[in-house]
Amino acid sequence: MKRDIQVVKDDIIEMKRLIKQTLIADTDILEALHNPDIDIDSPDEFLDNNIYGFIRIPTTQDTVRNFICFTVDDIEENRFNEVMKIQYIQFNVICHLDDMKTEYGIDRHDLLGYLIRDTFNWTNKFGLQFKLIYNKESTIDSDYYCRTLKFEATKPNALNKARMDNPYDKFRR
Amino acid sequence: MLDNYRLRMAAMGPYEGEARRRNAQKIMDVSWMRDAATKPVYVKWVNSGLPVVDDDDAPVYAKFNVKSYHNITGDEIAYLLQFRLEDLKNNPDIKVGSYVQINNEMDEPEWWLIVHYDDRTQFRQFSILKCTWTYKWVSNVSGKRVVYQCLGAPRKQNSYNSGVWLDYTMQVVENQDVFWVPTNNDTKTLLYDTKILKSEPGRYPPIAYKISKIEDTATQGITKFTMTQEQFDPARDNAELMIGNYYEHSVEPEILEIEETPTFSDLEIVYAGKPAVRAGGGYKKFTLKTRIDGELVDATDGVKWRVDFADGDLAKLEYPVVDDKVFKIKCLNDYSLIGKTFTITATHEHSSKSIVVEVISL
Repeated sequence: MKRDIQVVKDDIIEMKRLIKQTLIADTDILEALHNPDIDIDSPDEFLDNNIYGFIRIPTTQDTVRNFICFTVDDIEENRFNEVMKIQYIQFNVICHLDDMKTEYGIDRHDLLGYLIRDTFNWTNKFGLQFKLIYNKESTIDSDYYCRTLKFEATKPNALNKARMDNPYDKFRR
Repeated sequence: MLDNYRLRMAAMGPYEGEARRRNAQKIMDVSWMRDAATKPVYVKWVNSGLPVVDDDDAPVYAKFNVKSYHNITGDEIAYLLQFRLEDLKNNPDIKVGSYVQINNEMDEPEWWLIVHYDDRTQFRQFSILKCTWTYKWVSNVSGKRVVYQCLGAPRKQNSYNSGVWLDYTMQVVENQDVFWVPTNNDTKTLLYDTKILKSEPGRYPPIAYKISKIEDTATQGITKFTMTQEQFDPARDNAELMIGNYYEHSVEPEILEIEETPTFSDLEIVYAGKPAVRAGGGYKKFTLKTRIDGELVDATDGVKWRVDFADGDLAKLEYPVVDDKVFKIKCLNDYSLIGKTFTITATHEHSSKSIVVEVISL
């Protein structure tokens, strides 16, 4: 690539990386994902097995039963200030019916939902504050059940050195 | 102008066939590590004793090719092994009569014997036979009886009879067997009538043979022995050690000390998922285990871990010391490391095991 890939100036990619790092650093979340094939001491292995940076619909042949999928979306700018935007971070906790019960007496999708809310709500760790605006459970099919948590964060609108212009414009004629 | 053109063309090769060969050689070199047939192997020329892979032995990457498939009524077939031209030039051990250790699909090491080197124009290949039997015998060296052993490749010898010979007064068995071993200091002590026991453990009496034919010039580097069947003699042969003529003399023969090693294969580095760490990810755990009777058990203490990162900066890797048996490593969030590999080596007493780990993206 011609661009310096070490310095990816993109809110979405940066946010997804930070979320992945936060999720695998929390051993409670890893334990609640309940994958007996992966050692908690090798948390990276949960990525692309139980944790996905996109919404993945489980198939019937999956041996992995519980997933955390998340998306990061920039949908609208701030109503009163166009240099700011609203970013939506949505988590989908998807659990299989056969692995729904936990030893704590809490259903697994609720437990994972709690752990995610506990970790991410009102946090300033990722820049501006996260705010939980949606937390709802639903059914995917007769085997998989889901809890959806949506966070909102107000952030700078992908500015170029605090300006609203494109860095390459000055090279064009 | 024309001279320049001629010179430029001549640099590729004096004639088109040579230019094509040089091109083919370059393509072969460039694609070498991408071939599914390429495997790390250890080549060992042994003048005495059994082949052993030492800690400081470096593997060479060779292509393990199939020549033909096994037919259950035929003899064990030879496979082909192709080495890089530069390895052939630099490693004098790569020759007929050397042993090669190759890990099979189950990652278990197996010893093979190089028995032939073909003469094709380019990309010459060695024929290799699997060594499945350690032959042991007693030989008399300057008045002293010594037990020798040598890893060899058993071959079949069809005798076209029932294996029994009889006349009016006696009946004896007369099966035949053949084996190929390297021509070295040890196998030169295998003389006519040297007695060898060869049968599965637990069979009593074991099946005994004596050397009846020695061919050491048919293929230079390999000696082909033919044995004819013989009576087992419990007064002279040692069925427990499977050594013939052991008690031929009242003084027991000397057993040469051989280094107890090839434990190289007994060690395994165990990890979850793929051998990869993520740039910016968490720690990845590697555990050293020992394979005992097919079962993987934790290695004992005293394991030393080492990381070699030839492609990248070792400072980008973090590996705090946790425990002798367990090794944890993580990679900093540096995207330029993605796709690069480093080697983790665990050393335990005299043996070691290495694993190549790739840095992948989060």
